[in-house]
Amino acid sequence: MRDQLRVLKHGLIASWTMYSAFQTWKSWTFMWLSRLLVQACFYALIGRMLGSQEQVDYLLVGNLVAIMAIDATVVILLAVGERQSGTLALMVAAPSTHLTVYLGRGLVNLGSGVAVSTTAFLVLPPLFDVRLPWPGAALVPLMVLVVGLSCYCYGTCVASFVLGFPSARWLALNMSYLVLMTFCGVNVPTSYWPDWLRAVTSVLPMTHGLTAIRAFIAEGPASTVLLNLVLELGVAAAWLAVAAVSFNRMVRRGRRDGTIEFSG
Amino acid sequence: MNHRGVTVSVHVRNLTRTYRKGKGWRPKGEEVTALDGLTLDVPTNEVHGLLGPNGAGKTTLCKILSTILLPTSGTAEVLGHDVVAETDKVRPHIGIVFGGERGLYGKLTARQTLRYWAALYKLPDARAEVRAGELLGRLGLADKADDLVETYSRGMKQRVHLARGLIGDPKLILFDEPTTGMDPVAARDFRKLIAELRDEGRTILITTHDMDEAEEVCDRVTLIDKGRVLATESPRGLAEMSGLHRWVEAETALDVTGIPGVVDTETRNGLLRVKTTDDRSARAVLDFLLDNGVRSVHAVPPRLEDVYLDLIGRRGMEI
Repeated sequence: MRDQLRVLKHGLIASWTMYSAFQTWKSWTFMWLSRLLVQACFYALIGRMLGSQEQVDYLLVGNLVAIMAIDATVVILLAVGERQSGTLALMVAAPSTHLTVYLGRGLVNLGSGVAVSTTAFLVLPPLFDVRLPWPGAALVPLMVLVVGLSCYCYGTCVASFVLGFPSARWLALNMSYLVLMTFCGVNVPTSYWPDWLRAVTSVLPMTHGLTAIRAFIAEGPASTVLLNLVLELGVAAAWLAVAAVSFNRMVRRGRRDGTIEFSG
Repeated sequence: MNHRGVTVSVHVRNLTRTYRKGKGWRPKGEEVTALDGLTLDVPTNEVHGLLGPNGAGKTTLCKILSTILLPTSGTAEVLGHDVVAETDKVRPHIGIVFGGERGLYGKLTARQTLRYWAALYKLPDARAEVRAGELLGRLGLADKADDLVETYSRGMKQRVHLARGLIGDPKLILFDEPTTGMDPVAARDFRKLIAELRDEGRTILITTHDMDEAEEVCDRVTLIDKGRVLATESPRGLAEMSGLHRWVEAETALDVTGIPGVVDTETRNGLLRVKTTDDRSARAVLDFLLDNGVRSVHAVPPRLEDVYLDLIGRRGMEI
């Protein structure tokens, strides 16, 4: 366990170093954060156009959480990055668990996503007259983190498949994010979908976490909030388990078909 | 341990690896045999060279031994552990070093690179710090340890590769074309390092196209072609048992072509090189030259490169 934590720690340090080499606080703020804030504003403005504050509340809160998922699922691209930099073979041949190494490498993106969402929760609600239950609203970033963890595990699982199909990485990233945006209660309530599709959304990340955040902001019952957060954590654990199995399968497949290359 | 009672670090029996050309989940192209029933033992603490043309199967063998590729049939053991079934016992003990610039994170410093890989090799932080410092010093990177790897020269990057390969304190080190891109000074230092690593009790398997390097650093070499072992011997032994022509070299312009057993002659920078069929012919050429007052003259055994060219053929550019 200590070995695994050390791998996570050094993966995080390495990825932070690499991340900060191309992303300064200025570029993060004025290019990345502002782009995501504009996206959230866009959906909130649709609510305003519909002439309903209820719609504004729904769309803004949904998108404040959803913009975090863009960062959290960027982990999908990292698998291909390892292949392109020629480190995949070295990673596979190292004695550490592949999934742990991989999880450590993407944590910076998860942190960025939670930071984006938290900033957005501070900045945008007053602009759209969305009321947050202060000071309790200070707990919202923690709930966003729970949703982020589950999106991250889901992204890691998709990444394991991308490992075998590197050319599909951008498609996989966009599809993964769009599925969450479309079906998990961001812009359209899950109750809108047919039963079978609602069943599918219940095992996707964000669905339960977003329900918890909405209930918390609406000052709903604490039991509803807690139950949905626990369900979100359960979904995260399930995706992590699938990712672990899938990573091992893809590495085994790579060993079998010879697609894990030494690079010289 | 093998049947002669020698402890072996690499034990390979009838190793075969085939694959199909083409792309996708199930390639449908023609089947290619990369390794064809290869058998090899590398004793512990030996520097063993794998020589062969492109596509001979050298890298395929290294990939199987490093557990990133499965064989189609046959067995391979590293330090007594099967590379297919016991990867968790093999991986902590092997180091992999390949040539070129890939395999590194350009945005990390050399120290950060080593700390990262030390974690992957399960070294506790305190030990990793010490080990990274030792390796950086040993490989002449201490002064630049905190510079980004992407700012390094090619030779320095290669030294980072070496340090990374050694971070886990491996018992077996697999070098795949390690001197690619190194300048002569760096290559010389590399050879010195290989000798040091052997003195530390490590086993080294090295693939190379550089015959001089193989002759200098390897205790034994294995010539591989088309996935099969052609010969395994010490570089000198291989040359001697090859039955190749002997050469005589002398600083002279005399004509020796009439002497029986002389196959060919060439002159470079005033140095006459005479190719003879055997030791007796070489002796006759030596006698002739000495009788004619030539004083700078000597017989030269075939070099590893001559043996390589003789056994493999001049198809180095073929794939």
